[in-house]
Amino acid sequence: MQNVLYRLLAPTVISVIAFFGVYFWQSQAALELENPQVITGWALAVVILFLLIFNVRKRLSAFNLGLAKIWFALHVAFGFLAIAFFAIHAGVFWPEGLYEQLLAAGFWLVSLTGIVGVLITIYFPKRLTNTGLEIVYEKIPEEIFSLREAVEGILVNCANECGETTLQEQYTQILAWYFRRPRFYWSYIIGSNADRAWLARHLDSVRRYLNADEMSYLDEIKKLAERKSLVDEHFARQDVMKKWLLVHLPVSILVLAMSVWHIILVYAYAI
Amino acid sequence: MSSINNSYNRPNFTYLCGRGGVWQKPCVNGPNPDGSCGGVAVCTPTKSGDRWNCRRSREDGGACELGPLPNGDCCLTQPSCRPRRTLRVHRFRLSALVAIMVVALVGTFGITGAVYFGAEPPLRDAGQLSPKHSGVVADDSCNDCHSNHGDGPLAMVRAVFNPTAAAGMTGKCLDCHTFPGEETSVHKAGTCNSCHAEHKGSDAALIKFEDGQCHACHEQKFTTFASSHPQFGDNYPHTRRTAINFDHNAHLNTHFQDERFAKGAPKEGCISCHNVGAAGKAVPVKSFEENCAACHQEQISSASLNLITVPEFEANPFDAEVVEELCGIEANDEEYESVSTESLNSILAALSETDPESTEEIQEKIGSLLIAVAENGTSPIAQLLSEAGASSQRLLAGLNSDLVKSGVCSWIANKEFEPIDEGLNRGWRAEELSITYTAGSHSDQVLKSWYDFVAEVEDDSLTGYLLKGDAPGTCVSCHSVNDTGAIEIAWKAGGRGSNKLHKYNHKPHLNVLGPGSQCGTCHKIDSTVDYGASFKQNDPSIFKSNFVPIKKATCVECHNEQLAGQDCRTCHEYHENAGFKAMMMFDKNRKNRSVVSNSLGSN
Repeated sequence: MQNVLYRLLAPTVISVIAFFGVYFWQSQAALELENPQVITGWALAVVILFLLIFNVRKRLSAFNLGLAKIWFALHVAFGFLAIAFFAIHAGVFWPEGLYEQLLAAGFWLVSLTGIVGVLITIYFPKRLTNTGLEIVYEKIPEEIFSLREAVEGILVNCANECGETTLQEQYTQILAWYFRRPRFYWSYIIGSNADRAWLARHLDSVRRYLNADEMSYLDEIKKLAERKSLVDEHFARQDVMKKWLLVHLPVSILVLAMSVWHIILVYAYAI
Repeated sequence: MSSINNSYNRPNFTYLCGRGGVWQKPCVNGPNPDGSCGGVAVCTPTKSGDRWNCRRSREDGGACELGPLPNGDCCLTQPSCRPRRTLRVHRFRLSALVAIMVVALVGTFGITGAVYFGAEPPLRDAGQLSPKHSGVVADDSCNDCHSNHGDGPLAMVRAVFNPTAAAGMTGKCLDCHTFPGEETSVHKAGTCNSCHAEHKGSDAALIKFEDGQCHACHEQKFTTFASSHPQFGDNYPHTRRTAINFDHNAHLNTHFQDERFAKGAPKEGCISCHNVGAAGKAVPVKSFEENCAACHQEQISSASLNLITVPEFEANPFDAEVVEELCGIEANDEEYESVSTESLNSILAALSETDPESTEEIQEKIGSLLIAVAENGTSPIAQLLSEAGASSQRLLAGLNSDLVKSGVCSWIANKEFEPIDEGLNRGWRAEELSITYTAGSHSDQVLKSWYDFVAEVEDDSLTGYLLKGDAPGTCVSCHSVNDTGAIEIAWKAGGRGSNKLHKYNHKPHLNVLGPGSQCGTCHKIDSTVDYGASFKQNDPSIFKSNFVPIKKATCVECHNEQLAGQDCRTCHEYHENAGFKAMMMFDKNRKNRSVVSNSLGSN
């Protein structure tokens, strides 16, 4: 967290200076009975364009355009700068006129998703680090398949060596659901322990029907289930870290496209 | 269990293995670039010499026992999967879809929307107008306020690069609003929308103006009204004397103290004479009949306007035969001795351009004029008035031509006229040797027209005759004569001419202070001033006010940080004399008519 704040320091200072510079400029324009919204409007447009360049920069990884973490810090700070510019440009939270309202709705939505995204980007990796497991998002299906295959292999060995089917029946009726795919998605997002409670309930409930040999197999299954729990947490958090952009980026494009028409209207009718 | 060897699952690829999508093990080969499954065969054998070699990875068990088929295909196959697109592709598709949607919506409801939605496309709707404008600007009538950029999208785009919209709007504002004196005002903003922002909703202020904007230009800066606003001027709030020569001090402390006039004294203080119910920037005085008539009514009829007085002739200028022919009166044969010993009156002298001291001119000009009057009635006099630029209809309103003929006939026969009616001494009369007019009441239009005529022609003899306190009607004993480049008579009370950029409304102040006796909180009579002396000359700006000047401290008692507001615009206007053109009302009526016709049409 301290690193993040440190990286944000310089962009924040730049943003604050830019904001007060533009604020002073537009205040002077207002005092001289000129239209201050021209100044704040173009300042906002420039900042929005810079924010969109962040997405382009990620695609141009072949070129040395600076460190990604610096770009991210600039994106965050300038995002808040855009909110400040919008506030003094529009003057109100909710403007008049259908189109202006749609534009404002888009802007506030992209701002909200941006803020949520920043919080996710800062908070979730720390929680994932705490799991002690590292796994790439794209590898999670393979990992879950491997865990499932390992559990089913243990059950075959158990049947062969113990001659009992209690564990197999428990797996077929209960545990197979758990190992089929990631589970307890929202539980991991909000940080509850529903998954562990569920596992404890269903693994311990069968323990009383097992003999000593079967119990050792159950312990092995439990270890795999606990690893599956960590993989599930990775899946849930990494999934959110990727999919919030499905809202943020399209809405950003929406705001950019709508801003063009807004500028056309302003210059055609008001300036 | 993660493996870096399985390298195809990159998030920047277009497709991911479909088996991974259903939580199975993704195959090593991954999808083909066209989106088809690339993992039907477990490996892709390679040919070495004449032999095909299995290329199954060690992760999957290494080379298989059976090995490749003779044609080089892998011997181990599995059902194909349905590869799924990566999140990156979904993001791009969503973004593209949104951009296309915006363009489509703007095209449909913004650029060409007028085709489907009438005059105002929904995506050009900038918001609700303020109540002041929404009442007079019809719906869908953008052109009422905005310049027409022409039809079609291209014309609109051209308008973007021809940024004269604000100037065009200002021109449209001036279709209804008027700002007389704006050109010479110190306040000359470029465009109206610099300060008046429209389309901000029905509850938004139409004026956005802050003290700082005043201080940007005004050299004398101050923080707040209470702390550092400059002191008011010496005669504040007045810049000129009143229209009516009314000395509060003389009336209250001298005239009403006299037992003869004591009953006319105001019983309820200020509100006896001032109409508090109509209080605005000024508190108007009540009518002449309510305030003044009790003492001043008789003055109005005390003297008559003398239109014609037959002067003394040295010799008889009239031919006896002509007199007999025109009037049927036989001349006597006695030696001529003029029946009149009067001098030529001012009005007749001025109209006929006759020197009253010249007996020759009187003989010739007045003699001819009287003959013409005896022949044609009032027409020759009307002719003279027209030549002087006056309206004879107004000046001679009610004057009976036959009466004039009768009088003149007597005079040219060297006889006194015998007045027919000895009743009320009001209106036009033919007297023994003159035609006179006596005002019947206050606001007499004939006498008022004569005063206006005399003020306009600026003839010394006429001015000396009429523009004095004891002149017929005694009008200017109360109504001031003002010389501000042109001489005019202040017929209406009020119009004291405080600074046009100052604004003040008595009404809310009266509600705070209480009516009547509390006027003295601000308005204190200065008993040392002879206010009537201010009216002995005609420059209205030279005066000594009847009241002690209002001091800033009086206002600060309430207008300070704790109590009432003290913004600049609380007391100051930006525009002076802002008004409306009459056509605005026609536009409103037109809108109402269109609404009615629409409703009728819909029925």
